Amino acid sequence: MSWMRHCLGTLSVGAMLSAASVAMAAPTNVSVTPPNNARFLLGQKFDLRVEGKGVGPFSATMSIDGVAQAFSSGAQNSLTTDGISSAGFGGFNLRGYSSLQPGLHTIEASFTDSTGTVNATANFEVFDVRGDRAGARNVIIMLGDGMGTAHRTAARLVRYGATGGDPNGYLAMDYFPATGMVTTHSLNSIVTDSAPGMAGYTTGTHSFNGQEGVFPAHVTNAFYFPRVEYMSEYLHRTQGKALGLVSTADIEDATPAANAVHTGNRGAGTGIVDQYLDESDPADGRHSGTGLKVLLGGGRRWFLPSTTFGSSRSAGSDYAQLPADLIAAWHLPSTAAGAADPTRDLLTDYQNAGFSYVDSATSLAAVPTGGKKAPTKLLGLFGYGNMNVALDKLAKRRNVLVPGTTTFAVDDYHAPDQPMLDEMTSAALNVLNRDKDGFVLMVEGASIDKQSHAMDAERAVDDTIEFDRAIAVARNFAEKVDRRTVVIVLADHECSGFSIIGALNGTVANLQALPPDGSVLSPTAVPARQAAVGTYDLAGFPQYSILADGYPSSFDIDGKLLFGFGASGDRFENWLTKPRPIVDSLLTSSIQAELATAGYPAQPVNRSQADGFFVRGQAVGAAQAVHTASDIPISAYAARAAMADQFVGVQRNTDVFVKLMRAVLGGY
Amino acid sequence: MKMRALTISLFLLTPLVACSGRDARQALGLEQGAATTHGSSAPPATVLAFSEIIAKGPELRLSARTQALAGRHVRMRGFMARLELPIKGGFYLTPQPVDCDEGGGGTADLPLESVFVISRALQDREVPHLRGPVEVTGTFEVGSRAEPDGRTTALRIVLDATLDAASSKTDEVAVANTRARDPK
Repeated sequence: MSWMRHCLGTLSVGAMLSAASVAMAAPTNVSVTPPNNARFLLGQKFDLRVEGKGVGPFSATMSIDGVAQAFSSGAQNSLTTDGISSAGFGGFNLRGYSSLQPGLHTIEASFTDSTGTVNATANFEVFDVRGDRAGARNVIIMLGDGMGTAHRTAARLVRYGATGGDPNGYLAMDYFPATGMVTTHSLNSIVTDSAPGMAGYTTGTHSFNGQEGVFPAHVTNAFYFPRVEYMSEYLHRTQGKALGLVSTADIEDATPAANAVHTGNRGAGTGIVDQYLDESDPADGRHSGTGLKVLLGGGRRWFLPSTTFGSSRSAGSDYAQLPADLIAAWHLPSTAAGAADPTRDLLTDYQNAGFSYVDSATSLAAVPTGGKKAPTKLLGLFGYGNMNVALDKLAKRRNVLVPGTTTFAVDDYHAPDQPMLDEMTSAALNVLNRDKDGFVLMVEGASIDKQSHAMDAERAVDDTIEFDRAIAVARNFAEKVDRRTVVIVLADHECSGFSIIGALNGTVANLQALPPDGSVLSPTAVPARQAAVGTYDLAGFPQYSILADGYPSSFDIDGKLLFGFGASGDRFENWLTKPRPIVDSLLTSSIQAELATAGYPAQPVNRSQADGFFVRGQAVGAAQAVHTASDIPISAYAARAAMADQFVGVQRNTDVFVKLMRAVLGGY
Repeated sequence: MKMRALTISLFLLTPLVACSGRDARQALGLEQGAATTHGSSAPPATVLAFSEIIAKGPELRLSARTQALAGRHVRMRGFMARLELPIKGGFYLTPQPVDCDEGGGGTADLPLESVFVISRALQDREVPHLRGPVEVTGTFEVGSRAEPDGRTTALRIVLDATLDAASSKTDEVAVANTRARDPK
């Protein structure tokens, strides 16, 4: 599993190591957590850990600024130490630590096995961002997963067009007054995935790829890793703020989870959706937990007992009984202790905890927005896995099939009535705004990334437009409903090296009439569809027809925009909107007939594999396009300009956390 | 690169269209044009269409036909899902082409009807992705099961590799079968 792969790496992460005794051997893989040079908000909680690999019995010491620290778990001179360390490792933990002393601090540790001792040193910084200015009551993070600069440009060009050198209109995110750039690296790579990408914004610290809300370690369960407190947890504990998570992805996915769940395995779906609830502070004690009150997205499969068809719950992706010192130090209630329970009926448990449950756009629209019947907690699960993308949701709403298909994708996925992201955002704000202490809301346009992975440019752009409409809802809230709100728009990383390379030189009809390019492999031959790319002057200014719902009626217009992928996998490209389902034109007639009886087109469709030209991907061995290390744009809005102006310029991803906390705590 | 389509069921996994993925087929031991038939000892396979898996009606549940085929020898046609996080020893057969990125444990875009196809010949190895429709024949399993990597599967087909190897009639297929068990 990926979390195991990640945790097998070197964990010292910059800590300075030295052998303290002369011995034939010494423990290896000695590390101190948190990673060297980590930064924490004043009072923000985190776990410290000293671990190493060797021959037991193991022992360890640790001091902070010269003051000896007692571990909360880890028996000295024992083989088992804390009981949760991986085979061959000893581990010693100090859970739930925090500091009220701003400045640089030094951790000095030693780890001893039967062969010797290794010393390790690491630094961490505590920063104080409290100030005299009025703090933001609400924080809204609009996260366009994988959305780079070109995704934004493409959405603007499709939605509004351009004439004579100027855009004919601007996206909602374009109107945000402060824009900057953000680095996207994770703790162990220049190229991040969504877990550390999001967690950098919500914890202020880096983590390994595949991990969220934790520091790397060698432990036996993904939920035992050393934790770092999320923005949501800190603000719920100190100010009673609520948390809302809205995503078009499977709600288990890394981006929403990296606001509320502590795990070394972003794919551990059963445990992740359990922890959303178990650590939501359902009793509203405000000593711990996230204050989760809104959870909207896909992923119903994780909420059904494993004995039910459609469930993905399993013991292997669940979390187990959490360590006693973790529960005590993080003040978790016994209900948050964790258990491997794949047969859990989580839907019922959420409703018993006060959540109203909706499963369609219709039922979401019917949620009361005021009065005694308006819910204070809302759970919406609109698909079994990822929700369908905007292009496919709109096809059903318009009752117009995507060319080349005979069924609606939303029907194929047994979720025919899915809301758009702006509708979900409105519903979330209606619920959260009833909380008198304010809230943190994260809204994710998830499939900008997913469709970029799949190199499906039209669906990626349509989802960017969908995301922008949700941004408009958030902006309206911050401007007209509660002006004590800061809104940021950003991505966790860029995906696919997405680029706008030009426009179709000619009509779609001519494009469709071109001879097949599938066999044109010689580098000396020019595929007809490659020659159809209009660059520079030939690109002109494509103009799309926009329907009343705010989206283009079709992406396949004459002179349409054409997109490239700089971090691509292998693909066939024919420049046309990809139909779903796709049936290949080279099927034997008998198979075509069988598929036709099952509802699929009997006639060949313009499938890129049949007529498109082959493009060799640059991402070696990757079947899909991949994330890139590019910086991503950030845009900010707040009624108080100084609050938003913080985000101008180039900044580290972890700086975003610092600036958001400045906004809330008045130190901007 | 257009090649002629394979027209007869193969022993293990048959790409129904041979327009690309040649390397993948070679890794599976499926050379271009290496057609064979099921031997006379092969039990008859019942064709199961994806549209038959879930019962008609508002409630999401398996059809009576699906449940009745549990443990039986079935043949299904569909597409091999392309996963960013490949699975060893098998692949998902889906009613339409599907790309899954890393989200949701790597399976969040799979339709509910997806069938996990188990290749004992490729145990502990990743099954190379094949473009285009494929056909599989094997023993149908119904019911929730936790896989070793933590996933849960509801519908499975265990491929017929051993059976078809025994029934192979030609040297060409015998070679193909050997490669299927020990791909490069």
